[in-house]
Amino acid sequence: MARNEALTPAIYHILLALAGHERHGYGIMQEIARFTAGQMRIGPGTLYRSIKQMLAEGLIEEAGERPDPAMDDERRRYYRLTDFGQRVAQLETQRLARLVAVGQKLLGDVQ
Amino acid sequence: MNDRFMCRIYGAMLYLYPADFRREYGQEMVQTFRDAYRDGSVHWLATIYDVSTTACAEHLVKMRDNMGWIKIAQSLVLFAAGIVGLLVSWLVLLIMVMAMTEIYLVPWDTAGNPPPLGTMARTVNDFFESEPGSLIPACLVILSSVGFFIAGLAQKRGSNIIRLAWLFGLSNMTGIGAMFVFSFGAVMLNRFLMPFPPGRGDPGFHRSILPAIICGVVMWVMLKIQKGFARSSDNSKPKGKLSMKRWFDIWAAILMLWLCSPVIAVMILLIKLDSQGSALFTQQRVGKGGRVFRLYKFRTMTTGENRQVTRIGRILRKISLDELPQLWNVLNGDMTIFGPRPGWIEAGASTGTLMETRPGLIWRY
Repeated sequence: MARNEALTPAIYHILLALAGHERHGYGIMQEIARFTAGQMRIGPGTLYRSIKQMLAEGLIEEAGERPDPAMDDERRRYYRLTDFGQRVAQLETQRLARLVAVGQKLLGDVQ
Repeated sequence: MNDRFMCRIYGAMLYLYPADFRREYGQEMVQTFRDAYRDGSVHWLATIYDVSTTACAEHLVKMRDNMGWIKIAQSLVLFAAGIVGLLVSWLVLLIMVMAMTEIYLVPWDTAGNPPPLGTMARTVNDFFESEPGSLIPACLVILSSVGFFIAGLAQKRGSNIIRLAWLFGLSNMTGIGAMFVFSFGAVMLNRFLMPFPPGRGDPGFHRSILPAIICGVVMWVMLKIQKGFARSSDNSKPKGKLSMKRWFDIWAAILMLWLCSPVIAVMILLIKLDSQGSALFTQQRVGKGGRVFRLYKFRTMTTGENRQVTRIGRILRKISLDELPQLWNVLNGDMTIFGPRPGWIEAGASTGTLMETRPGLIWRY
């Protein structure tokens, strides 16, 4: 798995959604829809496949299982970033920022 | 549609995933889907796309680790061939039924003459006599032999879906093969023994010889397949030599599997939607010589602590269709079509006549 590749969009978005907060699966979906203003939506299938992969790669870890007070009293599995995940998210953000800078220089200011 | 129904469909779709993944995340995925469906943030069509594509990805990763790319390609081709074969065979079945009912719906006239072919039947007839139509059987035979070759390479090991495709491919290819043997038999009788219809003239070379060649190839393929199943036949005979009873069992089972394949597909869907768990139910039963084998049935009860007969199960039991998967046992050589029902282990069935004969699908008590 450890190949020299950019993160998939789904994994990067999940990293961002977990920054500073522990969240469960549906919470991650909602947070992503919120901060992208509904432009990026992840289905449950993609979400849990990405989560499994990220757990295996040590980007996130489980933060225990407990009921969500805002939902029904079903037990939810919570996830949080590891230090490694935090670092990867920062590096990816830097990479994207450099890319955007290059893009703006070449295309003129797209703002 | 209400969300409980949608969750059930979604839950059934999760069976596309490998079992370990489903066990670990299935519950949460259904919960997550339900929440998303309730607040309308994810469209259900998008979810179907999502589930199927990620399930494919999950399987691919698993298969790559287990078998490598070449075997994956083989199984995918096989799976596609199975599905295509299934669809084609259902279409042919539908056309045949339509053509036949059209003939027999028209009464014979008072002078005792048979009715003329209806438009549908005539169209079908003309099509199979036309230039492209007459090539279809040959193409099917080639397709089926390629399919079996790949099936042999890909082995019967692998995931359930590959095994199912193999089974479907096998049953419908041989079903089509048998059908064309019969229909070409009829055509040849017509051509060689009966006078040509007035105005038709000479049928030409390929019309008269090609059917014979195709008949031979189909028969050869059918015999090959039959040998494949001879493994668990009568022990006293050398491999490949079949008793008449076993020969009948194999072909009856294959033809019945083919004819029933639409029913089986619908059953699997209904059982999956009705309650949680596998569509098939297996049980250890006692066979010939006291040998224990695995008997297949459709599941009619719920799984878990307190077992109840499901709604679909009640209907299935009433019309005895829950025994349909036992055709696979017949093909396997564990059972035969006509014979005493296989005994339960708990009931101490391994005594008396049940040990001396192969247990059967149909028996008069």
